[in-house]
Parts: sequence; C-alpha cells; structure tokens
Amino acid sequence: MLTPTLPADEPERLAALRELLLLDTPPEARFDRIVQFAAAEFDVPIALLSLVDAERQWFKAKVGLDVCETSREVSFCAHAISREGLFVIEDALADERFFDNPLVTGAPAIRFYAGAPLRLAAGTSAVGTLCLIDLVPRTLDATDHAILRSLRDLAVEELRARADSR
Amino acid sequence: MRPYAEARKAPARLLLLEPQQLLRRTVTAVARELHAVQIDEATSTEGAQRLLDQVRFDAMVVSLDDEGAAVAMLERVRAGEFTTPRAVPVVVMTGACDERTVLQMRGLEVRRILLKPFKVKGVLETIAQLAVPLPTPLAANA
Repeated sequence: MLTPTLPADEPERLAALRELLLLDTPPEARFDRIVQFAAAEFDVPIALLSLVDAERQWFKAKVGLDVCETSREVSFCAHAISREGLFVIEDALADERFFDNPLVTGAPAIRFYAGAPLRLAAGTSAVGTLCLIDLVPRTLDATDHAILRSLRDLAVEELRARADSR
Repeated sequence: MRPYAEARKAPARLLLLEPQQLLRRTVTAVARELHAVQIDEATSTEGAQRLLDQVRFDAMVVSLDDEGAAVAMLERVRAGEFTTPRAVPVVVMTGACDERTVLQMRGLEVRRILLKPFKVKGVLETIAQLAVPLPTPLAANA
C-alpha cells in the first residue's frame, strides 16, 4: 500500500482547513445537496465531501457510508489533495498503489475512486475532496470529468462563502 | 436578420430556465466548457421572458412548472411576441408527463421532453444536438 505523501505546504494547508471551522461540525444542507447530487448523477453508492486533517480524513457530507472518518494513512483523498486535476483510480484492485489498502480489501471494498481536490486558493494544496466511490471498476469520460469538476467548483464556492462569513 | 454564414461563426446562444441551482449551474458550466455554447440562465419565467425580449436565442431548455407559467411563456414564443424567433428549438424538462402534456408539447412544437429525474449528461447531450443553429424559413424571416 502506498501511503500518501504530505504536500509541501502542509502547515499552511492545515491552517486554512482549520480556519474554516468545519471539522466535526453537524451536517449542512448546502454540502449534503452536492454529494447527493453527485451520487445520483454518477450512479455511485458512495459520494463524500472529505476534509483531510493531520491524521485523519473527516466527512463533512456523505452518501452511502456510515463512518464519519478514517485514518489519513489509508485515505485515497489524501493522495488526491496533492494533485492538480482529478485523481481517478479506475480499478483499485489492479492498482499497485491501492490493491492492498484496507478500504479496498475490507469495508467498504472500494474498486473505483474519483476525487476532485477542493482548493481554496490557486497555488495551494487542497483541504479535501469531493469524491465518488464505487464497488465495481468504472471509467469516466470527458463529460463526466467536466461534471465532477463543476460540482467541485460549487463545493469550493460554499467553502469560501463559509470562510468569508467568519 | 443575420446571414446564415455569419450566424454559423458565432457560438450558439441558449436560454436555460431551471430553478434548481445545482442542476442549472452544472449544466451551464459544463456546456460552456464542452460545447462552446453561450448559456443565459433564468430561474423564473419572468426572468426568462425578459431575456427572450432582449436576445435572439438559438435554442431553449425550459423546466415546466406546476402552475403553467412556462407553458404560457412558450405559447407567447410561438406567437412571435419576443425578439427570439418564434421557431426557436425548445426542449422541456418535467417531472410528470401524461398524454395531455405530450399533446400540449406537440402543439408547441417542442423538440424533446426530458423526464425528471434525469442526468446532467442527458441534458448536455440534448444541448449538443441543439447547439448548431439550423436555418429554417421561419427563423430566417423572423
């Protein structure tokens, strides 16, 4: 299993995340709507708005998952936050980075993952992702990518609005 | 009246009437990116009619409401009451479609009815089909 590397700007990234005052807060409709929309649009059983903290990833909004957090070590999203574009794993079992990840070999048995980084400002690492998870291998075409990016942009707008209101 | 050759060079301009924000904004953003379509958004028939007065749209995608305001607006479009040509291609989105609705839409020369719930991708595919402005005698002379 490949453990995620820390972004070069990790201290600043964590500071930006904590300034949002979102971690461990109750669900909010404006974020729930986005993951529900994403799950329906892509026909996936799991969609998450994940925030990647120092040692964990915590889900501000979620569809199809009972747990509210996992360790950062096994998090797919922790890999995605260092990427510029979408981070897509079409078949986790066939990917040398993830085939033995506990989230793949055990519950929820991830096979497909697509994460869109939530970047509050250009040139900074993402605070988390809007992500899709399926239990079967999947592929996304160019239109799917554009739709996921658009939903991600709407999620970032909501995050920024929250930051501005503080 | 714009010559057909000139019209083909400009990106198609489309009116999207859809109150639901996530759907409307996602369709708009992706359509602009992928289909080089200029989309004007409206959240109400009042807002849509103001735009119809100002712009010669190449196509319309309209969410039908329960109160019939969108249908009334389409009737006015077909009556030639707006700047937008009366033969403008129209696609409607609706949560329910009985025989009466189908007949009504047929009478309004609606090209396609999209039934909710539908996917953004379905709307985008429909927009892609509408995006090329086709010259018709009615549109050319409007």
